[in-house]
Amino acid sequence: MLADGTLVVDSVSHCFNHTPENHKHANAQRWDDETFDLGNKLLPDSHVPSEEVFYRDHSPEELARLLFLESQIDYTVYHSLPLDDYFHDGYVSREKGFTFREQNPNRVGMYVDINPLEDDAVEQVEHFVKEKDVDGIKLYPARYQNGRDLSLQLNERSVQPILDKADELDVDTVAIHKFIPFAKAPTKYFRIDDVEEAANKYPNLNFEVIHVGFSFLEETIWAMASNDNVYANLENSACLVNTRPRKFAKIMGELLYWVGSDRVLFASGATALHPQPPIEGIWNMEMPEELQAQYDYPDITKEDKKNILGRNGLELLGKDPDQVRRDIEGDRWAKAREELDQYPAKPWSTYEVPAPEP
Amino acid sequence: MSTTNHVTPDQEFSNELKSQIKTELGKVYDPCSCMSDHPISILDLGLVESIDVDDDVVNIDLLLTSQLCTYFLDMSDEVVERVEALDGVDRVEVHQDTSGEVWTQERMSDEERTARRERFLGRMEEADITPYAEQSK
Repeated sequence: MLADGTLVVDSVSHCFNHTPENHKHANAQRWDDETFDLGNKLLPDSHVPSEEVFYRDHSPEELARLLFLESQIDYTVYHSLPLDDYFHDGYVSREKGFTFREQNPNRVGMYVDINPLEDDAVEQVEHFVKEKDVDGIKLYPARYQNGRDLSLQLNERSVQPILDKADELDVDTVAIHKFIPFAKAPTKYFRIDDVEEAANKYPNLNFEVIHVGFSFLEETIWAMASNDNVYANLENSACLVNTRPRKFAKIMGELLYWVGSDRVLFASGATALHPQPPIEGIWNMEMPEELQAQYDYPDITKEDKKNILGRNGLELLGKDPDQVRRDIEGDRWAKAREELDQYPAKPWSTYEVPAPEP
Repeated sequence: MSTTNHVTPDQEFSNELKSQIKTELGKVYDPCSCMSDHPISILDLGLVESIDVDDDVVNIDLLLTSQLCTYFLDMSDEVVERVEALDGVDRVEVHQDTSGEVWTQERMSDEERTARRERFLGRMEEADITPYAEQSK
């Protein structure tokens, strides 16, 4: 929660499983190591986890403590991941997400991953929306299958039935990983052209593009300026506010100048990264005067920051902030915060080392 | 204007081989830009941090736009192929600069940076898009 009571909403959290037993593909270890390195590159030294904390099968309880005791986050949206081409459980399992939501029903929303190439993918969408009441669908733009990197961009024929079904059902948002290439998939899969096409074709769906700012910024701005159902999700890139403040200021400057702050979403990417530094960074940031002079960027106001850090996330979920505030008042985490000597708690201090036996 | 000490397209070398290497690097295109309508070379993009020649061994340092870039090997392979084909070169080693230096747009050649921005602004204007910040004025 911010000082004035504005709720802080994290639009992406994950329970990663970084254990060797989870590896299915030779490159899985590399994926784990590169995710660990993300912390080194994007976090202050004080918030980089130890290897003992990082390389584990993170539990819903650990994620909850990390978000609700070690940061100002009040509400989060868990995204499961469809990376079962590399990891047995998809890297961030659906099961842990549903458990996390069940344990924290007033603080957790859920986007479920779908692999459009599975025979029953459309039925899965229907099941998870109707039976599990998910808030969104999570897609990846490429998949390693039978020795090849296949395109799963939003304009592929294999993906259309998923979007058609989402459009038909009571689910409003499709989130898609973009901007950070992985494995050997061609760069074009991580551009945003396909999102633009889909946003145009499905005006009643919202498209949340993840990791905005790392690359293809002008293309993203174009897609957002042309389509009011495209949202910028700052998972991981939000950390640039501390490690590369000028780059982040330019990202924000472009967004604020062309699009405004109403469709920009803070996300932590926890458990891969510690959630607190980017919250403080965004709250304290100022638009450098020379960038304002050079590019006409507007200043970033407190209202903009509240939109990004909380209001927009709840708005996209269709949630009333006052109701959420009432629902979490005095709950387990609110009480636990009060009992802490220091809130937010020290980075990774709520993790048990070594990890408890499953 | 560039404020860094990387190798720029208009940089001149007293060593002829270095000049030839620079010319070859100007033919290696950034893989991401190749997905756009306006490919740009790694030289114009400001990725070439340094060129060192030690007898017939050449060392080239590249500073990537992101340390997360997974296309380093693609660029490295093409650099090796092109530079090893030059007379007087026996071996080429391409390294990723991990000194902590970060790539910024200012490293792009002035010409490319300006052209890129103008294309973006032109596209916005053609589509009759009014910036949000201008709407509220």
